[in-house]
Amino acid sequence: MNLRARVLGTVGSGVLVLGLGLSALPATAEIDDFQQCVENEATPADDCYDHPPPPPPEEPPEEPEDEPDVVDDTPRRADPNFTG
Amino acid sequence: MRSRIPITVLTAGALVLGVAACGGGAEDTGTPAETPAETAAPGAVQEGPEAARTTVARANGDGVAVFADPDDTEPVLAVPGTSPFGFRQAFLVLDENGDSLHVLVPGRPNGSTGWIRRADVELQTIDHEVEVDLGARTLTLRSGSDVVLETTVAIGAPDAPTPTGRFFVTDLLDTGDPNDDYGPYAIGLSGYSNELTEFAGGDGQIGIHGTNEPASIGQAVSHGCVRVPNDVITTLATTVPVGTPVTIH
Repeated sequence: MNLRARVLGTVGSGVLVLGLGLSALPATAEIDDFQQCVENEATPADDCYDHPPPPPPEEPPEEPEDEPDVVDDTPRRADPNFTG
Repeated sequence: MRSRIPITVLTAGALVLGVAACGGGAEDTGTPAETPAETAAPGAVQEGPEAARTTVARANGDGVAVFADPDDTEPVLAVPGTSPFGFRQAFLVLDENGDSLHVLVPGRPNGSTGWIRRADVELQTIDHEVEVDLGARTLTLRSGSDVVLETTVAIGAPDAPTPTGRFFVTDLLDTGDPNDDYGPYAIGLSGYSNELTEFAGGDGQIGIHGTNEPASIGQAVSHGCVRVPNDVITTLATTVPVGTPVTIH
């Protein structure tokens, strides 16, 4: 093997290792980003995958449900003061 | 710039997502008292086979204005929306006129009537009624035309007789002690003693209750209330709703 081939082989191996490392590390943290891009129907031209996803839309606060108008005639604990 | 290839590969796994759903069952809140009252069509005491059904108006707000005439604009009385023991105020409906109801009003003098606005109340019908016969010293509970129970009672002594007239239930109280002077339960009525204006810190309101002196049943010994055996008051208090008519004669 001549010198040119050795140099190219070493450089090529380094590039391959570096590429694999870069590709593996951030990918697990970018699932949500990708999903957001898919949901937004982004195309590669939109460069969506290089930007953080937009913040989720704020959901309106839940309004308390009206309690049913029920008459409660269950006997209540109290000391009577009737005429006896 | 980030690599897009690994992201694409990992997306296949990311799309495999599950949605967990929580199921919530109704919480058992114990054994609530029956509420035989139900929403009613407007009107007074009904005729025919269901003649025992009575229309009762229950306050739906902080207070109910009472008018002397259905067309009056100035009330003659303002009744709180709840009884002193916290029950939604009841009125026995006698008649109706447009948006006004002619009702029996709780309080003195016994038998007071007036007109209230339908918008201030919710209407219910009640199947039960109670009759107290002072001469026979008996109490009868009916549901429609059926007699649910009949019992001997103690009534007011000669110096504090039980008042007569048409009244209705305003309060259902649990004394928490079967050996209490009032027994395990006491039922407040819309009527008041004609002799006593105060008693035990109260204002002379009459009631139906149990007793820790069962030997007094059948005698005229009370201060105006109607005493019944403790098993009977337990049945009454857990059966009749506020607004149930009580006729004493």
